[in-house]
Amino acid sequence: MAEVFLIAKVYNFSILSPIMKKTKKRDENKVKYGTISLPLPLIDKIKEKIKGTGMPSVSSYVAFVLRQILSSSSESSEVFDKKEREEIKKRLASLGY
Amino acid sequence: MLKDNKKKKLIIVAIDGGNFPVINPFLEKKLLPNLASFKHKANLISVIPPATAVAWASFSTGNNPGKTEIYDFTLVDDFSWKVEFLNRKRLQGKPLWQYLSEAGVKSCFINLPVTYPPDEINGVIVSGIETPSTMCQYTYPSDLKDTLNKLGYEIEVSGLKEKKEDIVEEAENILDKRIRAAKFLFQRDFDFFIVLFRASDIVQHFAWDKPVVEEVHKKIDDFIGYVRKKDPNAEVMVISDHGIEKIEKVFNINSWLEQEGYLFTKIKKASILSSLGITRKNIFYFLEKTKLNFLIRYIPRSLGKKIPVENISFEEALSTGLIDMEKTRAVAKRSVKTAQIFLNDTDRKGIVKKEEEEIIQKEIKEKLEKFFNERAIKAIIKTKAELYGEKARFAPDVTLYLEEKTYEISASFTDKGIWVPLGKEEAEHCLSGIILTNLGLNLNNARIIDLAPTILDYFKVLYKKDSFDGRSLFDSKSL
Repeated sequence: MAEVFLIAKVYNFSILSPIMKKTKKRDENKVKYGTISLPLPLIDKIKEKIKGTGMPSVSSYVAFVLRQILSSSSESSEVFDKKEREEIKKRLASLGY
Repeated sequence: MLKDNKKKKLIIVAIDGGNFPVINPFLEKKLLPNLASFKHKANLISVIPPATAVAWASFSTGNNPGKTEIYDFTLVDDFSWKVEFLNRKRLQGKPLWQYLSEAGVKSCFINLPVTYPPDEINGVIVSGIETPSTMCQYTYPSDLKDTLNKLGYEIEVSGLKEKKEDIVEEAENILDKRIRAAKFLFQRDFDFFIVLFRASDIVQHFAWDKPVVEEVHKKIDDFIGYVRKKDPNAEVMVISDHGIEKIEKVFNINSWLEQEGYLFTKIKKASILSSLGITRKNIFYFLEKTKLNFLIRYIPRSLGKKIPVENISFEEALSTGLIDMEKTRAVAKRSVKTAQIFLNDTDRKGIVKKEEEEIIQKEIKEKLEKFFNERAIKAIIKTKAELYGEKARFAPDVTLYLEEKTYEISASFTDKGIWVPLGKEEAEHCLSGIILTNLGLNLNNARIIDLAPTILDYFKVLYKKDSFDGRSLFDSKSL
């Protein structure tokens, strides 16, 4: 299958020149980027999906989605509401857990 | 696959906390004739921590906690200090009920932890301890719920009782109801049937020396007699998830972490207020009971800092902002006889940098080893990678399991120091559970993680060998 490299977005210094000083400092702590490959049809689908959403690029969108998944891998598995959590908490506490 | 060569039924009666030091005297007195009749009786080794839900998650998947991602009833996030209760959706790996279902083996799973919300299977699932109540959809198929509710089925003790005697009485009543439901479900057509009786564990925790322990074992023994009578051709096996032993001494891990400079709290310790009974815990419970807990946010920070700390749990400490996260490098939560130490790392927006993590893990491990070696107290102390594997998610950074008999762990925040008084519980879990069977199995060093592949082998269900950390007990090679 045809593949393409998604080159990570880098800062465009010409645009940022008025705040270059600040950027330079930030640059020291700047996250380094790598490349990953995705099937072209998938990239096209993502491009369609992000049209008009304000999401700047396919890379940004993929990074956003992955961050959501990584940071909330437990969130999607939350099955208890607040009242249920309290009930379970009391039960486990009474059992010494 | 079951077709022409249909195997006889396999029935597992699971005795939570079942252990030989307690059962053997009953066997000698001939009080448990059905348990006594098994040809083979051996220890079944649990996992670390040997907590009920952790062990059953490992039973169901044949894998260690590093792969099930179930390390305790509550699980700490890797990217924040969020703490969640376990549930079926948190369980990683393919559970036994799915393997069996896909292979056409009709199963009935009653009361196993980490099954709520229940999966759709070829058979029945009645969810276990983490089910909020019988109002929830705790059964598959869903219409079974109404039938069980009409039978008065209850899942677990309510948590509304405070006295030990009341909890024990509640557990006994629930056992009767569970037996009634299990007998009802046993009439259905199954190839594999497993029921977990929790009362044995609860009564040992809270009434270690009392006659109720014998009574509960007798009731379970009677149930084994019942299933044998109903289906004399069925293969019956008895297992437990862990053992249980009397406890006397309690080591407080968070006091130790504080003493060693890893943990800092924002609250001023031992003051005149505590001698008057004014502690954060008392205020917390007073406000909760009077439904005034919203007032907590209005207590001025400066005043809050002066209120002394006494027996505040890990979760309470996190939610009330008791821990000084700007200075703290490590904090622990408790599981059974186990301290689960988590680093305040950058993923959790804390102060421990990536490159420091391994160094601090090793440092804590070595200091704990020294502490317990000097006192000749047997302890298993492992870093995350050592115990659960490099890739384990949501695992504690360091785990301390107190192997020494009579020792228990506390992780409450207290003024009382490293050695704290015994709580409500009289006994606590240990690694040695039980297995009783008439099958010709290799029971040398048998472990709870070995049962999933063993059960699949019994039903001739194919699986990839590397799917499990456990090995089939039908294999002749010992570990």
